[in-house]
Amino acid sequence: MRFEDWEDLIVGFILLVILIVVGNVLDYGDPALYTTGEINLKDEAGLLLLNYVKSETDSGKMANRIILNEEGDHTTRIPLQKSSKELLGFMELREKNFILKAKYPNGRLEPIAGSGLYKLPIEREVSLTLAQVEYDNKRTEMVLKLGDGEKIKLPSLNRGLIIVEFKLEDE
Amino acid sequence: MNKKGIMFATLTVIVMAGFVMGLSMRKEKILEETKIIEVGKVPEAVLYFALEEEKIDFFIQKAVEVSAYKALAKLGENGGLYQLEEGCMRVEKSVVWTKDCIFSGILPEIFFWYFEDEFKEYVKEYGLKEFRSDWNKDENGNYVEVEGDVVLIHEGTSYGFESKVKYYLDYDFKNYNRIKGFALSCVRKENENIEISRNYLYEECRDNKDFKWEIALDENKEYVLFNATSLKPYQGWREIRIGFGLPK
Repeated sequence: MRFEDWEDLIVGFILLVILIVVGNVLDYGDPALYTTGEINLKDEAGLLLLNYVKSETDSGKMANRIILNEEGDHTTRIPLQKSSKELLGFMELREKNFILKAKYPNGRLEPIAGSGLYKLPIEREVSLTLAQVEYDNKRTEMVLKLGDGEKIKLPSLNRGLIIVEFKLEDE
Repeated sequence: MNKKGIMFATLTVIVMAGFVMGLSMRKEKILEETKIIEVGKVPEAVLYFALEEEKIDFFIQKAVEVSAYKALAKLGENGGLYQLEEGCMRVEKSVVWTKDCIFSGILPEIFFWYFEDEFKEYVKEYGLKEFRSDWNKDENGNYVEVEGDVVLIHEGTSYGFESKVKYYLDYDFKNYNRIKGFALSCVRKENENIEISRNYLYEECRDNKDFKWEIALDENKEYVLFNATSLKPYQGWREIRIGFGLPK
């Protein structure tokens, strides 16, 4: 091989590298077009709520039991709360702060199950320490109002829709 | 390499760079026009749509079940009639069955009218567009079928799907004729025995174990008012009660 050929080969290689670098910078240089962005998977609570209402226990489907509990009679409320607690416990939520409640078209709000900070009154000790008061206020508000949790709607046996809300606090 | 060669190679690089730059700008323009968003937004939207679709499908399923139960309950409350026609009357909320005022042979259709009223109301309350509904019968019995198109919009991305439910009714409309036969027989027998007993016990009906019977006379003692209630709740909801009156 002659000297000129080596020279041509080196120059050609350098130009090829420049071409690739220029091509890469221009074509893939804008990260906004190809970035995966921020994928925010907030669907854990949504999936849990959907699975919960679709669940069927020995005494019937959970959605049907929420619908039948519209009048808040103790014959429907207590079994609903009991089986909901068992079911959500089975979903490994015992250690997390969550609250599940239903709002009926007549304005009645029924806390169905809660854990940690939002344990239902029936499950909690009667005497509270002063330190508990602050978060108890938050808890009361969470229990008695609909918040920003995941929601699902069900038809009411009377008129209108029932809103079931499930709030799962981030750890 | 001679000078010409170097010039040619440099020019090639410049042309290529210009070409790539132009292509890149065009791609950017297309992305802007078609509003294709960041790649990461797509899975987020897909998850959102999948969950919402499940929620809506589940709601429609429940709305059909509840509407069917409520339609049966209303049909029973109104003695198998949709509207009180001429020649019909109510005594203490019960429709009085007479020769000119009795349920017709199209009870499944009347049931469906009640069903449609209830179901439409739920769909409207949920904020969905109108669903089509129909009823029919096959070898498995009477059924209702509802279907509708749903469009979801999430952060500028839209997604449409069809929600469809077919629901078989677990109810025998012949119950109306059975109850009518029983009640007429009870009233007739009670009238035959009127000289023996004046207690209006209507024992034959009370002894019937297919339904739970409540029988009473109206205030003026001109009509016998019946409530025949099913022994079991309809598909886990509540019992279906058929209420009506007969001339004494």
